[in-house]
Amino acid sequence: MSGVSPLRRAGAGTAANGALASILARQRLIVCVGSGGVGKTTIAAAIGIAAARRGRRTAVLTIDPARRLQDALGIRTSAGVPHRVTLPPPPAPPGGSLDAMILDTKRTFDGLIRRYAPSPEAAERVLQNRIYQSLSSALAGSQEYMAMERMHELVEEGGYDLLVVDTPPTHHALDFFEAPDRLSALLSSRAAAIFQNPALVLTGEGSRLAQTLLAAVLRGLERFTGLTLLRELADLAGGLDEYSEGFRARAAAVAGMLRAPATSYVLVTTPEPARVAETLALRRELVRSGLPVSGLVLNRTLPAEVALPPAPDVVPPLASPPDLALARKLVAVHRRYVHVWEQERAQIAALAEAVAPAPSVELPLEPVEPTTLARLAALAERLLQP
Amino acid sequence: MLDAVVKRRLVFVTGKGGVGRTAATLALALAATRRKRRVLVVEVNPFGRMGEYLGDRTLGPEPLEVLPGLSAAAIVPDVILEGFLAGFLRFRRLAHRLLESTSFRAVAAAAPGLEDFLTLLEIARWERARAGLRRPRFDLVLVDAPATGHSVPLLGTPRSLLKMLPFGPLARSARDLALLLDDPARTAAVLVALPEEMAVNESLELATALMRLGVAILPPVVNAVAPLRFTRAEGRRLTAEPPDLPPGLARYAAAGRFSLARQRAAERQIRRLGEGLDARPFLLPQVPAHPFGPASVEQLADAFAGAGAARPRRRAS
Repeated sequence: MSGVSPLRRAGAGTAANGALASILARQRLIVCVGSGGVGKTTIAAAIGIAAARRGRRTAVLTIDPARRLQDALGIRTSAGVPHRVTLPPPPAPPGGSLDAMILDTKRTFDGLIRRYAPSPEAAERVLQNRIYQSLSSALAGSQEYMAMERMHELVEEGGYDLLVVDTPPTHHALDFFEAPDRLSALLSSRAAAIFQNPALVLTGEGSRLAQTLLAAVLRGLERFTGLTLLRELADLAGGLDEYSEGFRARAAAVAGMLRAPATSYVLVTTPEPARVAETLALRRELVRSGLPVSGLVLNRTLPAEVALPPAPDVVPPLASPPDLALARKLVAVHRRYVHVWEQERAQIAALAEAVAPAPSVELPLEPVEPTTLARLAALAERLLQP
Repeated sequence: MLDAVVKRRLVFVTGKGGVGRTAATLALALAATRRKRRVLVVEVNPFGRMGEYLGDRTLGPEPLEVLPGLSAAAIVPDVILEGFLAGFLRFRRLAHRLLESTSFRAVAAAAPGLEDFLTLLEIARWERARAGLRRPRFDLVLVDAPATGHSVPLLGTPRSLLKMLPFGPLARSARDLALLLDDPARTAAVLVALPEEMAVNESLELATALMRLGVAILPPVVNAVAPLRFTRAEGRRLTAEPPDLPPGLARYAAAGRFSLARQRAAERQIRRLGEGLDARPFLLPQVPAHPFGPASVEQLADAFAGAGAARPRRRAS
């Protein structure tokens, strides 16, 4: 490995790419974090390819509901199932491979129910419950929770050296990482008891009159909704109660995995001011909850060569109208790029300083999106090369 | 484009995250007010930036007139939940007490689709609202809907609820909602995309999902299209080896080629979107994004209003 890489241009640590390579070589779990639309899924895939190229048995798990990674990695049909990606040449060294998969929330939830059910019949009772069926895919937080669950399963039992995941776009990073806690709180016995007797909500907080009133009104809920919604909820809650120990233990194991030394968080962002502000806020949240950032990927930065300083020499008079039209456009395009470039450099410097000493890597914007395997592989090269 | 929108009563603006749904919603709304429509824009995302784009206004659960003919409101989940509970329990104080309980919040969070359902009920309430005997309070309700991943479940809520609760008053509301959403004369969706491959992919998938739900789809909007275009001849000159540039401009070769490559990629995607949806995409020009404020919205509204339309506030010079 070369010690110092030649700087292609001034700016955030191109010299630090080697450090990113060492994260790929060492860690067991890499979590890509960032706001929506910055290319997290793409970067997760590129990191996966880079790790496979370094001889690691790698898996990429994507949570992206828009299924963008599927397009690139060709895994459109097999939700939840690992799909071996055929890497473009050169062949990966022995042991190096890449599996890709999309999170299947419902399937993972079903698996969890089966794992902790006291009996297969008990599991069936929950799986057949209509409320469960919509809850397992629709409940806020269940996708995040199941992502964690699947991550844990893959890290512990998947037989991989490295798992790379992208996180769903959330307004706050911690919505993702706290989802297991919130869901287990919901499934805790107190919540379950409330499903069975909703008036318990007011215990200790309300007057007896309020409680009596509420109990009466809620009893009328079944008549009002015209269906046994409450009873089904109570059935489900009673059923899930038996699982809460298992869920809690699992949540603790997941929390441990998130803070393990072999777990790294990589921030992904584009250099627009709004995204950079969000990224800085994300970083603060991560650090505050003890999840340190080990790298920053700056995606889609403007290539330096399009924003060269304008020529100091005098432009000769332009003879023909076509020349004049083209010259006007070129000057306009160039002026815009210089403006964007200057704005980006200020943003990038602030970001690099915030994450230092963690390495920052820039991936310049390409005219065409990296939506094919070959382009993803080229991106992976860029991640590693100085 | 604008013609199709102002014919409807309720239009959902949706698309991939980050494509500029809020900007497009506001611009369409502003353009519609120039056609003498009274418009309500509704922000569904609790972290949305609509208020900021309107010049740092604070949007609340009640429509607020932000510009002549243009009102804005935000969906505040707690407020609609409390309203729902109050109607149900008949006592707002009791509803309030319930909402303060964390256990109740957990129960409410578990009720599948409840928040989405209440959101749609609130939107439908505004669509129905009257000012006086016959006149509707708003001619057009434009919803800044959530991104793809959430818009489909949101618009599908009435149907999924009907599956769970086929009878009773809730089912009646759900059926009314489904009728409103399915009615192509009253309700439609506008898909916003960027001229990029993945955004177009997502729009095409979203269109399929919305059609399956029975929601009418208007021509798509492509946002942030670079206004500057190189002609074919100019493209040939830029890509020649070496590039055939006007004298003294060799330094700009890379900028020109890069811009040309992006222009061609964008044109390819716009064509693909148009073919996929069998409709001519409406192109919104790129406007300065920082800071994005009322002036930027007005620029986009100009584009929707079209060259021949009246532009009351701008272009006076």
